[in-house]
Amino acid sequence: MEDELSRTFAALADPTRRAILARLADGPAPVNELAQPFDMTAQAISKHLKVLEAAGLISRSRQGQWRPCRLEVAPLDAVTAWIARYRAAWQDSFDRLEAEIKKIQAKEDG
Amino acid sequence: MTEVIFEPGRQDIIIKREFDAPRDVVFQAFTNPELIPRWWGARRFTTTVEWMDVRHGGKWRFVSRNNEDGNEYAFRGVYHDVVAPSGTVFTFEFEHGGPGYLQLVTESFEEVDGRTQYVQVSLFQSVEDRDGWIPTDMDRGIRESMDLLADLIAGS
Repeated sequence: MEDELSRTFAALADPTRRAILARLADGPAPVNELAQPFDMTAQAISKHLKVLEAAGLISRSRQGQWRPCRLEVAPLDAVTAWIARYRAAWQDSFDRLEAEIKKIQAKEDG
Repeated sequence: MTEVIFEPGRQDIIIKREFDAPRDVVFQAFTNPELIPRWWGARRFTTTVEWMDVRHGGKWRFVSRNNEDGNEYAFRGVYHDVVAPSGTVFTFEFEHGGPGYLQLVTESFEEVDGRTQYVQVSLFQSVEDRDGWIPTDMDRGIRESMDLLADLIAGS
């Protein structure tokens, strides 16, 4: 699980790959269309797509010449779940600290 | 409420929280060793303070025991900078080791209209190191979040 998440984060760390994912959020697209906004060789784009595919963030249809790329959201859900859990843990801690602060203030006022 | 900023490609985690109290009170509460067991760390752990010498060069060490299995985990560090009530800089080390075990933490307390904006920046050694800090027990995490949600619904 850790490796999977590290792969997801590594894949997300690159601005070109994030731009590709943003484009795919609007719907599936073929490779040549994904490559268009970037000043890059087809080979370079293909490398980025391989990283995204290995991280499970995109899938490529095996059928036909068109072979559109599609966004896969499951790995993003795992990351979101972890961040939500981390946030909930800190929120819980800070809520307990705030309760202590209220007690201190009540003592000072009383 | 509490905000966590965890962006791809960065080597830090930023946590923000607003407290409904002036910053001298909030700073005192954060740096009071007697209060640590009442708020620091997850609920299923009991934390004891071994040292907490909040001043330049002072050491801190906390031991957290898991109430369910009795396993203990220790955390320690050194205060690099303490400027009451505006902030602290300290190292945070998870003695167990592993990715992300060593961080440089910067805390800042800013007062706005009698309330305190608290910001904590944890800086890791590298992007990979930070990403490795993510725990491996994801399933348990999700289950706990669901339990927490159930508690909130039951409590409301």
